[in-house]
Amino acid sequence: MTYAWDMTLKTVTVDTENMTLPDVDGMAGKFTANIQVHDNYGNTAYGHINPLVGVGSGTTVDVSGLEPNKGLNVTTTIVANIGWSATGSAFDIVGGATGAVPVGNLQDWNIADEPANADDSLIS
Amino acid sequence: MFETFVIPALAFHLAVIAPAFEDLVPTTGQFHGVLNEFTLMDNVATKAPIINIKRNRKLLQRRDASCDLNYKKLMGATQRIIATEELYAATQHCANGFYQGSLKDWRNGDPLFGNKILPFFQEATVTDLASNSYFGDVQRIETAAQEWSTTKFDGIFKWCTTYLAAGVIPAAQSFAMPVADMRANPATAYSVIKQLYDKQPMLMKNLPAGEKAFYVSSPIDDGYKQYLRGLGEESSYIVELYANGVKVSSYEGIPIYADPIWEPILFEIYGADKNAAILTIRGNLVFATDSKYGEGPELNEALMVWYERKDLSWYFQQFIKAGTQIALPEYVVFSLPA
Repeated sequence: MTYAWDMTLKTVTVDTENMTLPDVDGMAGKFTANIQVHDNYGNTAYGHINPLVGVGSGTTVDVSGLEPNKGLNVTTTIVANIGWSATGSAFDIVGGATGAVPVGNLQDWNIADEPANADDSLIS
Repeated sequence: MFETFVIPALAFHLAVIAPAFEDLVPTTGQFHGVLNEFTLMDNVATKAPIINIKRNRKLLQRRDASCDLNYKKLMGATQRIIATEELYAATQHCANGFYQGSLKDWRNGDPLFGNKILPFFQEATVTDLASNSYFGDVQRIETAAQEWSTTKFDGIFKWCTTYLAAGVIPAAQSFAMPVADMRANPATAYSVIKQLYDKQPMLMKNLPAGEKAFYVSSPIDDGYKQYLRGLGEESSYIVELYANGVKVSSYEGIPIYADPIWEPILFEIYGADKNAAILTIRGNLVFATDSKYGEGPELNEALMVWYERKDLSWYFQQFIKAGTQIALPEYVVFSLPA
């Protein structure tokens, strides 16, 4: 996933670009994402993507309420409806010259090893 | 010289996490809910099976004349799995101490420091754990207006709806909660309790009342008490269960526990006059954590507090694992707002 911080519009756009999502057990098309954009003053802006698909789904988070002085951090949690989840981030995104749009990838995905899939835990 | 104040993982677990699950009304600390009704598993690094605690039947067999026996299975450990998620909290306090003179105590290595700051984390951690344990849903859309943490790990009600959708909890064991001010409509509160009771599956009915419990939002409990008061019967339906004598009401001998944090969380998620209730067997709700989980050089530090001169700030970091599960969803009757 990628982020793009537009300092003029005061938005952060998070996009799936061409990410590959697993397609097992009917997971395809059942992903959502919760996005949090933090500044370094304790403020947070929220956004979400629903549904999240591999190509071309994204959202724009209004960050006008954040203080960009010390840069922004973006954290995203992707959740499949059967419980699989992963949290990734981009830290210390710093602004550049006026009109510049810092872009980059969300990284360091922490994939929660949930048993919540139908096979394991829904057996009665 | 300044040093970092560290609480190791196990000590943090014993001081902050475990007390929240103790079977006593807490007399100190800020949290007064019914987390103690959860079964606590404190060694779940990633995931662990839950032993089937269902009552077993039909073990007896008639003996034939041979020396061969038919062996039956008594318990299974493969039925359901509980998983934990890695969570953390980190804050920076600029210019503010935790309390008057905290910097001095800390500088002097005064043991008072630990005792005094622990309640801050106790309150924050345990409240977040409780709100997520019941209403957590990692798929819920988080907004800036939310004051309760309900998106960090999946809670009991998420599991209830998941199991209901999968057919593990039969549809007959759930109903849409009526939208009403239960305190002003005691009969509605009573009908909710009665419906939960009436919708018990046959297998649940063979368990004694003492092994079951209602967990409800406060308005239902209040409304139910109002209803009994209207009949002049309030005192007949009181049981004392907590060790220090706090009374809870009951229905057909089954105690009714109201967790005070449910009402504000339900208001936040669903709106006004919304309630939730569960009837289940006690010990069925499971909370898992890992008492050895921590970070730092030895991977055993659960809580770290230090003063950073560069930023003139207190920093605090805390690491925890948490997850919930229902051991036997078949033994759950629940009602959520539609």
